[in-house]
Amino acid sequence: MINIATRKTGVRDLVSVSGSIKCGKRYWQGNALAPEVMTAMLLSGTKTRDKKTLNDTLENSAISISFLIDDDYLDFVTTIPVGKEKLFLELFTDMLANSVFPKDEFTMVVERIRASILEASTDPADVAFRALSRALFPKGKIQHKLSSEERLKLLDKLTLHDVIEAHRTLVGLSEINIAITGDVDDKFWQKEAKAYFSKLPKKAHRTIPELEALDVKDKSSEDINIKDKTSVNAYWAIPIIIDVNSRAYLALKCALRVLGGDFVSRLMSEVRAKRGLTYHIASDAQGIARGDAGLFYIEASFAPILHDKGMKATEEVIGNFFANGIKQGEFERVKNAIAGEYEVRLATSRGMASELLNCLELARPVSYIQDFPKLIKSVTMKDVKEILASLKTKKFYRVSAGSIGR
Amino acid sequence: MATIKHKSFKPIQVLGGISEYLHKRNGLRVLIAPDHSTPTVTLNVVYLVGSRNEAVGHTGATHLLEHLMFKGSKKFNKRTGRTIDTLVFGMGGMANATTWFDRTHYFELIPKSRLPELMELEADRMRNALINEKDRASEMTVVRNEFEMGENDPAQALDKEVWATAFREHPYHHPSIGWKSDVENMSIERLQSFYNEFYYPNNAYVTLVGDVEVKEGLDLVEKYFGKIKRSEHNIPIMYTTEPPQEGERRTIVRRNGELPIVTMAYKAPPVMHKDSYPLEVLASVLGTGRTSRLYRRLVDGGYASTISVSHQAFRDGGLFIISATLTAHADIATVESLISAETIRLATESISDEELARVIYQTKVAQASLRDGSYALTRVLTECIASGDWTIAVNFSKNIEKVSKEDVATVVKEYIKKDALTIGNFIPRK
Repeated sequence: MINIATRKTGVRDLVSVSGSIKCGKRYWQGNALAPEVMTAMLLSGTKTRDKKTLNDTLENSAISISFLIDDDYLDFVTTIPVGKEKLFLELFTDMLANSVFPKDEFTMVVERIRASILEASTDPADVAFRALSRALFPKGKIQHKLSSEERLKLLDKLTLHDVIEAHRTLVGLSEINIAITGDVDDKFWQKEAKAYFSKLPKKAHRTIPELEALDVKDKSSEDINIKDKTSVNAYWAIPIIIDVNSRAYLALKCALRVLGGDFVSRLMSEVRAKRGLTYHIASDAQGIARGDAGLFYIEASFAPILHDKGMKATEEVIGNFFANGIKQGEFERVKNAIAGEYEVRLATSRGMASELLNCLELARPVSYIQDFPKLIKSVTMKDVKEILASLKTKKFYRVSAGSIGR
Repeated sequence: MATIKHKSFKPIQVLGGISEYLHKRNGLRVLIAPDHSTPTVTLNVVYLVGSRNEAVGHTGATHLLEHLMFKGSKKFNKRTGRTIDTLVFGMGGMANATTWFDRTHYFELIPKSRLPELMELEADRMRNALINEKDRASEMTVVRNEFEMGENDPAQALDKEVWATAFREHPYHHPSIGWKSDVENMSIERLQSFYNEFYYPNNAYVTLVGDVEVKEGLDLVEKYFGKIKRSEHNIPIMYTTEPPQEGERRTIVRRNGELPIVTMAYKAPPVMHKDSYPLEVLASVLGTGRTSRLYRRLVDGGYASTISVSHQAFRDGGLFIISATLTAHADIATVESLISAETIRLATESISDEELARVIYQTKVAQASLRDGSYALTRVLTECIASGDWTIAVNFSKNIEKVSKEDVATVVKEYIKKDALTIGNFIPRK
């Protein structure tokens, strides 16, 4: 299935492309590091183009492709000068279909990934978030993020065969979504993109949502000490399952915005502006797009000496939020703010492409983009009360990481 | 497009679809770039004051003041029911303020219908900001946590040390966020006095990019900013210059971490200097993309996990910075010598025609992307205004096209030399 959406924007001589191929980590049963290494090796050459030729051709044409593989998709983003679109399609589909995985390149990429894991192992935000996911989701499930130590062990065991097998198993024509904006020729993309991508080997990846979350009754928090860190990162979270195409999801967006979605949200006004305890504090939801159990979470940074005060203040705001709900004035403000922000996000080719891609991935009609401001304004206070009521019985789990108490 | 007549403004020039005007009475400069592709506009006020205008004892004043500018003004405060943070951040759109070496700016990317209200707000806080001790006390700890978050990252911590080592006399020595103890102890009087020295129309630019016509924009600027008086004093001049460096310098940061970082920074000329363009080309040839020389030598060679090369040029000078995060098995001395060899080689061996053509083409494409949405052009205009000439934003690609292979070799000889080098090492302490 190849889904293509295009939209002309004000920019001339360039197109922005945001795309995704359904071949994420959840469809792979082997060594968990294999999809990541495979993705990093996509620019290592193809059967007919060695690494130098491939990269010279791309960069001489000012085409820079960035890839990221997540649980669901291999995402790609690029900007292409007008006139180079066909070259992009030829090179990109060649990379997907005919990648070669040379041994020496594999060794180098493994070392680069080892470096990124080591770097992340002393990043308090990464350490805290991974710990949170392990506390809330069972081992072996996609939401359960491995620790740096576990990832390094897996990397040591990874073989070139694993990577080649991950490529063979995952990459192909399953569901491919491509959003193209800017100085775009719709007819060209509808015809040529379909022609190029349909040559990929067929794959059938079936998504089964992971619904299970762990009960955290016995333990509600953990502190992880990392030396020499001047700021502590803290997360609070509860599991949440919600249909992102439902009205309840729009109500959740409003609630999150009131709690910690912008500079005048409850958390920012109280914990930052009034009490001066943090630079960064926010609330959001994560991991919910495919129907999985995801997270309703709050994140904050605190000076080590203000950590306890910061936590207390944050928990007061969260407690009050769930106990008393939101006020009508706040509700009206956030509905306008969300609608206004959406309009502004569509003002660049990259922003428009990203929203179109969301529509394709979530099976929304592209008219959703025009309808969104009306949809958000149609949310009622009753909708918000219902979503908050469904969350308020759950117990938050909290993780802090950094040089706590120093 | 030609300039238009307006009773309050003197037309200066039109270039690349951007019109420049000077307010006849108060000296405010205005740039307007109409783009009607979406019903949005970016309003941006740039003050020509940054951390280069600070000295020891009040480093970070510009940045802390930027935070206090959101606390209230005469017309926009809790008492009037129209608060700055609600209007700027709470009504949708994209807004922020940032401080750097040479400038401070405040911007709002908004639906066009909100432009008059936000222009009224920006005009009011230009001279009527409420800067008080209670807000300083709570905001100081916020800024301190911003400082602390930056310090968590080994690369940022090392970068700060490298600038402080390379610049000893000029205020580029200190980071724009300031030194921690200055941030903690700066008095409200110092911040008020800083505001009263620099926040005037004759030390500012208003830029409007997006769904606005030139006359419409000028009328709005006149309506809201027109009555503000120019400063009665001369805006203070920053006169400290950095003397020539006379030998290699080294700084080391030892902290908990996993991977070493090597930074090699060479003194670079002020951004307006003609050599800035060949230095930009050099930075691209060395460090942009997988085809660049240092990527191939260090990353493909297995010595580094990431590399970056940037020509960081400012009003009074800057640094040409090469930085590499090492892989687990690489050592600092080897990477330093590889960077040196690969860079200095370009003084005698010319870059290739293919490399030069690639940089020129990539720059041309990047220039086209500046017209994608109103914020992209606003961001670049802000840095060019800070440098002293906004037209760089329009002419950058053309000036890169004029660079020859010989020009690149010349700047390597002139700037990439040991006496102008500062080396920084992050050494992980396990």
